[in-house]
Amino acid sequence: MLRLRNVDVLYGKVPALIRVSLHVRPGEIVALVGGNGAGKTTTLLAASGLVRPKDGEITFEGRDVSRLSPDRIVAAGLSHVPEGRLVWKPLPVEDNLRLGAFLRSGDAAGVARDLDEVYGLFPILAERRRQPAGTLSGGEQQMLAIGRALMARPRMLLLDEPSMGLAPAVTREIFSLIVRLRRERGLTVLLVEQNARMALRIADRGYVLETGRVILQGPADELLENRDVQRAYLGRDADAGDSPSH
Amino acid sequence: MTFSDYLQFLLSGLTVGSTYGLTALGFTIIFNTTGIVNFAQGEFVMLGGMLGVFFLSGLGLPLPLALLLAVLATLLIGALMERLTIRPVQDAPVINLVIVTIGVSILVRGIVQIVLGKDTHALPPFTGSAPVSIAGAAVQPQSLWVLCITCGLLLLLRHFFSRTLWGKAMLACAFDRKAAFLAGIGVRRMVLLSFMISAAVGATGGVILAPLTMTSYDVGIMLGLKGFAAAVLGGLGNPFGAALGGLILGVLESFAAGLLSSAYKDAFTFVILLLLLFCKPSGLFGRRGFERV
Repeated sequence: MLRLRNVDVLYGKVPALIRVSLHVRPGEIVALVGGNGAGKTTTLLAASGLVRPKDGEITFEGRDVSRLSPDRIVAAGLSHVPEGRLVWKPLPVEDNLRLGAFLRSGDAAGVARDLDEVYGLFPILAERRRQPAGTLSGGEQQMLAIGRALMARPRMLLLDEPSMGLAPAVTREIFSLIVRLRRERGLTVLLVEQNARMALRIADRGYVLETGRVILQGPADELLENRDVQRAYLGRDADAGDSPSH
Repeated sequence: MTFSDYLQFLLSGLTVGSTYGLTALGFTIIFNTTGIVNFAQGEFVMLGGMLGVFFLSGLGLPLPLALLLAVLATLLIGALMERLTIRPVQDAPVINLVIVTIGVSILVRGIVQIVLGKDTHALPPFTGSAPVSIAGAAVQPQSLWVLCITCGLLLLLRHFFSRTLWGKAMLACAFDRKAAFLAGIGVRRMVLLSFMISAAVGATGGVILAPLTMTSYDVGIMLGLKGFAAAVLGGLGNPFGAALGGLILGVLESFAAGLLSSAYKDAFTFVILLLLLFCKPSGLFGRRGFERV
C-alpha cells in the first residue's frame, strides 16, 4: 500500500535517511522503532510530503507521491497524526475535527456522519466539543489528533509517537483503539514508537531504524525475540516481564 | 473648550482611527496566516486612494464603479505580491520575508510616483460635503460613511474567521502550520488568500478616507507605520484588538492635536508605540483575546 524505495533525505548537508526501503501492505499494522534521531519521524514526514526526498521513490497505492503537495497526499487517503499531537489549541474541539475534513467541505452530510462516528469512538470529545483543544489533557489531545486525521477518511494512518507523555493506562487505551480501527475499518497503520515493546506487540511486522538506516526488519514477534533488539530497545529485562518499558 | 469641541475631536479621531484600524487589520490577517509583518500594508491603503482617483478622473468612470475597481485592483496587486515576491522565497526565515515586504513597498511607491505622478489628490465625498450637526459638533457625512463601512467590514471579517470553514482554516495555519499541512489544508492557498483580503481591506480604508484627508503616492509610509502601531497596540495577532487599537490611536492623536498642537500629532503616535513596547509588549489586548476568536 505504502512503499519507500531507497529514500534519501538530507537536512541541509546532514543525512537523515540513507537508502531507506520499507513497505506496508493493506490492512497491516507496521511498527517503526528506533532511538532518538534514528529517522523515524523523518520517514513519516517524507511519506506525507512535508520533507522532500533527495533521492528514491515513495508510492502510495502504486502512485508516486514523492512530488505531491501535502494536501494532495491527504486527499489520496494517507493521513498523518504528528508527533506532539499538534492540535489547534485555541480552536474548539469540534472545529479541530471539522478542519480535519477540510478537503471534503462539499460533502456536508458525510462530514456530519463522520463527526458522529468520531464522537462515538471518543465520547469524551463529544462532551468537550465546545472547549478549546488546549484545555484537553494529553490523552484527550491524542484522541483529538487521531479523530482529526480520521475526518479526512484515510485508508492509511501514519502515527507518530502516540504514547508520548501519556500515562500507561491511557497509552493502552490508545493502542487498543489502533487495533480496533484496523479490525473494524480495515485501516492500514504505520506506527512510529519509542515504546518499542508496545508497538511490536500490536504490530504484524516491524522495522528497526538506526542513524537513518533500516538495520533490521521482520515479523513483529521475531523482532520481540531478537537479542539485539531486546538489548537496544526493549531494556535488558525484556524476556522477563509484561510491564511496558520506558 | 466646550463639550462640542471634545465631541468634535472624538468624531474626527474615530474617523482617522478607522483607517489606522483597517490598516492594522490588514497587518493582522497576514501576520496570523504567515507570521510575516507586511510593511507594504500602507501601500495597499495608498493604492486604494490613488487608483480610485485614477479610475474616476483618469478614466472618467462613475464614482461607485471607480471605487469598487480600485479595491479589486488592489486585491489583485496583493495576490501578485504574494505570488511573485513571497512564494518564491517562502522557506526563508520570516525576517527575510519582512524585508522583502519593505522592498515591495518601495517598489510600489516608485511605480505609482512614475505612472500617476507626485500630485496630491482628493476623491469627492460619497454623499455631499454639507456637515451634519451632532450635538453641536459638525460632522462630515463622509465621516459617517467611514465609520459605517469600517464597522461593516469588521463584522464581516469576524463572521468569516469565527463561522466559516475557510476562515477557521486560515486561523489553523497560524496556530499550527504543520498541522494545517497534515490536515490537508492548502496552506499556500491560505497565504495567498490572506494577502488578497489584507490588500482589499487596506484599499477600502484608502478609498473611504481619501475624500477627507487627500491622497498621494507617499501616504502609505505614515499610514503603514501608524497601522503597525495600532496593530501592536491591540496585541499583534488579534484582529479586533487591531481595529480597536486603530480607533484608540486615532482618538488620542486627534485630542493631542486639538489640545496641544497639531505639529506633534504624529510624534504622539510613536511615543505611545515606544511606551507600549517598553511596558507591555504583548499589547493591550494580547494573546487571550486572540485565542477566543
